Amino acid sequence: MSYMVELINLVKKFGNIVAVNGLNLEINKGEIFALLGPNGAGKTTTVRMIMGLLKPTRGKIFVDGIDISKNLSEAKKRIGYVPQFFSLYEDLTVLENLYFFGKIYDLPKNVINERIRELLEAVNLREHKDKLAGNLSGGLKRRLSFAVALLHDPKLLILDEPTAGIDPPLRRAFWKMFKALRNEGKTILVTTHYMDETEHADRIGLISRGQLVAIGTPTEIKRKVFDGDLIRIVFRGGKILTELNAPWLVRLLRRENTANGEQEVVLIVKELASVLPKIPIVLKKLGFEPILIEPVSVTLEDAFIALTSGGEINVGEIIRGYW
Amino acid sequence: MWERLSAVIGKEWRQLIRDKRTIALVIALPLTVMTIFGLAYSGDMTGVKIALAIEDDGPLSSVIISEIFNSRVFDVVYIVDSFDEAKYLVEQAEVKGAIVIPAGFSTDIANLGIGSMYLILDGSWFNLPSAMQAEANRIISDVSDKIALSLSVQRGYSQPVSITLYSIWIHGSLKVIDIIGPTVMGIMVQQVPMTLAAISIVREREKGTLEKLLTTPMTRFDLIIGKLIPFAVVGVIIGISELFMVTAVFGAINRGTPLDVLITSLALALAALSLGLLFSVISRNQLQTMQISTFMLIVSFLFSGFLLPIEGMKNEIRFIVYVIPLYYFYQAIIGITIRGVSIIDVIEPILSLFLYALIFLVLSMALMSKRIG
Repeated sequence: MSYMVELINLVKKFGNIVAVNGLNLEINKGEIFALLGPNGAGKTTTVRMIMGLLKPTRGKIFVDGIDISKNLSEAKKRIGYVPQFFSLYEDLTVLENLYFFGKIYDLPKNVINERIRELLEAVNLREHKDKLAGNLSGGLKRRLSFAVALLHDPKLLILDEPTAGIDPPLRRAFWKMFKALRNEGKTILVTTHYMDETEHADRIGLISRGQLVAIGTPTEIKRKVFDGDLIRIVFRGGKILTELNAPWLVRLLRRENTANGEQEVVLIVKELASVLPKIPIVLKKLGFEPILIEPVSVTLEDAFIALTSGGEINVGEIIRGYW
Repeated sequence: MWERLSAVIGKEWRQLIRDKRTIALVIALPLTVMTIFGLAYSGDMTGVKIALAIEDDGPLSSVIISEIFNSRVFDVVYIVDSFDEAKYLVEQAEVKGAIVIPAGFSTDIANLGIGSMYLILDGSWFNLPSAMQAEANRIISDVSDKIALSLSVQRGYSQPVSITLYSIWIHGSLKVIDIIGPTVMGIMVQQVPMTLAAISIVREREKGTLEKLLTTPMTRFDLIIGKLIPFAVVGVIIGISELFMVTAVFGAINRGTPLDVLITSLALALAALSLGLLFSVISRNQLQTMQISTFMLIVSFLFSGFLLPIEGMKNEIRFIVYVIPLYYFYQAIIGITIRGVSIIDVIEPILSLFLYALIFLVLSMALMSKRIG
């Protein structure tokens, strides 16, 4: 009962196409969870099933402990939903849209007024409140959608591709807002296909072909690709380094001779932070003179491609820039 | 230039045939209309409800009576003793017309070879009186020959018989606008709100607003009834303004009270709206709903009885009038504006419209999916 969202063996078929294929997922209360995957991976289908918009072919969905197949209306009250595409009334003004949805959620009039005042402030829409929603720019429309989704003060906010087609500064602002909402105690489920922004999430679920490929914090996900962190070392002197024995080493990934008799290696280590200070000592013991020791930053994009391309990890591709 | 033109033609053609449901409608609707029309109107007129007044008790009237009973056109639903009773039945719209065989008919024919009969016609049924006159004249001509023949045989010499048919009109001074005007008003009251309703839900579906709505606590009842009420107001406004135009501007008769017309319009608007909402619920895009609305317009013109009499439709096809809201409206509005009766006297078709609305609203709510897939 401690999960905000729990998906159990969720399956959705459209005719012969299996969009979601046995998805198991738990989203904790009070975290920002990013459901990351390429287009067509099943993100929107999953979200729509959580919202009760699509009926699962098989499986169970619990929202805040409520089985949505039994009590969808109770679950709906706990969720604020921002669909992928703008879905408010373009021929109503910003305020009219807010009032309409406030009433649909059965909020008392004074609460509606109070919430609208707060939210217009929070999403910076006050000066646009009397404009027709259809005349707003893409970014302002998204902000209005957030405001509407937050009107009834839901415990869970579900946003389907909220940052698609949005410029980087605004994306950053949105993530700042997600964090602020999380700090207020809300749970946030975001789907996206932008790898970089999921660095801001507390946890990431990587989904591909309707299945969960990896789940964890951003660091855990990156680590999963190589079973550890990458370190690049350039050093001089001594014999050729072909073997290295250390308890913290996962394996030696690459070795190459470079100009000036220098050698360069890439190591996979268990945990970067604790290993980094030990490396100069080890090298000196072996008679090498370290020139450069630096962590190789595996981007989430690398991890994403590696994990979704059917398990084939192309190391050369990932560390190409360093050789 | 030719390349570009052919590119546009090719694109349009592909788009047209790509959506199977739409193409099915585009082809099926005209064919369906013609099929129903052909099935309905390819036969003779039948079952025109009339009263028969027999004032003459002589032997010759029985020839006429049996001929009238044999007529497929006339359906004698009342037999009365006097002209006045027959006239009363026509005035009350219990029958569409009446045939009167006056007192002394048999003696006049036997003695003089000349007789007269009366045909009482209700002028408020557009197109029907002329058909009744034609049938009555056919009967009289047949009967005259028969009587002439039998008299000649009896008497041994040729006895010409001439029967004159006098038409007596109830609401006889009506102009086309008096009869058709209120029904054209009905077409507007039916079509405009119906089309608004038909587009409304499918538009929410196309625009994506339905996806958001369906994730809120809003119920199907909220959505359907919430859409119904403003559109019904539009329907009533159309009804009242059309009534004003057709009476005040174009001089059509209105013997009813504005309130009665308003209630009748409201009943029609509600029925049409419920049908429109059903179309909206089952359609996938606006093009489809527009096709169905157009179909309803054509069908209403052809099969609601106001342009072409229902009596001209084959019996097996007549059920179609019961799914057309305009049919009930026509039955009621003619009573109110032309006969000048109160709404209570035409409550049956009006209640039918309310019942119609209820049935289709419940059906719309039942068929409306709360999902988007």
